[in-house]
Amino acid sequence: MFDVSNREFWTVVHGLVLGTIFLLMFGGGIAGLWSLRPGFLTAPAIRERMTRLTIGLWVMAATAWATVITGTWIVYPWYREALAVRGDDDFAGCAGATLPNETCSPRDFLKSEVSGDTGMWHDFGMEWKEHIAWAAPFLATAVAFIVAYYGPRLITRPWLRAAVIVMLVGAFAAAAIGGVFGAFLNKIAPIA
Amino acid sequence: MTMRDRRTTDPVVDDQGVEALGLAPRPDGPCAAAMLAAGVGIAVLGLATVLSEASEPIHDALEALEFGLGVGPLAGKTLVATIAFFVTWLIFGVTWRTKELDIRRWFWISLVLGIVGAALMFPPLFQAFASE
Repeated sequence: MFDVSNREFWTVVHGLVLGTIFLLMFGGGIAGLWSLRPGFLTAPAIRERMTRLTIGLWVMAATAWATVITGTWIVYPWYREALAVRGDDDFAGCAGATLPNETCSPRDFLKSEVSGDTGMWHDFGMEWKEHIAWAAPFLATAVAFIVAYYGPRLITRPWLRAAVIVMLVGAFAAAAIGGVFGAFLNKIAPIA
Repeated sequence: MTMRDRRTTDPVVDDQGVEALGLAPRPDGPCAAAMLAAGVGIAVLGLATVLSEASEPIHDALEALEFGLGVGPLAGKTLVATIAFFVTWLIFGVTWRTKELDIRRWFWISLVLGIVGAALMFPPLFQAFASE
């Protein structure tokens, strides 16, 4: 059967399912905003496209919130458990480990450096990812609202449309940093 | 004014043609409020990240907001930033509901807030403030 632990399930939901939906929706959103310009579309096409674009951007915003909330409140506590501490030695439980285990959490494992020069994956990768990813829902929600608020009026506001695209790209960049480091971290120190 | 597209009988909408869609103009106030809220949310998260590193009492206060779930100070940082995001949006969204504002100005202000906030979340920068 398809045996999967609770931790594996939520790690997949957070990183693969929600993260992938967000990154895919970005492609549709940027294409929709880019072509929302004078001389490109007929009136029926604008109505159809605006509905699709607006729904897509709200889904993207909701997915961004779901991704950071599951990541921070469900997956992250498993990553950062202090399991290895024994007396004065913070990482005694990681001795001889080649992967995180029940006495050595992923953070313990990376910081202990028992399996190579792994400290920077936590000190730089995880520390950056866990903070910057939260910019994505702020930006994506604002973008979804602005597009829903103005609708086809954005066609005659090229500067404003460009500003919205900058915000959407910012949301993507924040999510991409989280996604790339998340993928590497889950490869080097998977949540067991 | 409309142009004819060769592949369809429907006229392609140009600058003036958008007006033919019958859309009344909308004030820029609510849009400026959304932009500003995003900038403030990111800036507050960046500031909380630095303060958590620099001050033990602030670190402990932010950690206390984890509700026993083991999230650590990240719980407080993200909760405070999320509250700042929604409260900013609510206050300015209501205040600027019908206002015509210089949207470019508010975009640049929000962009600067966002860039500063994002910079403060860069580990080599906020770790330089570590208290020890």
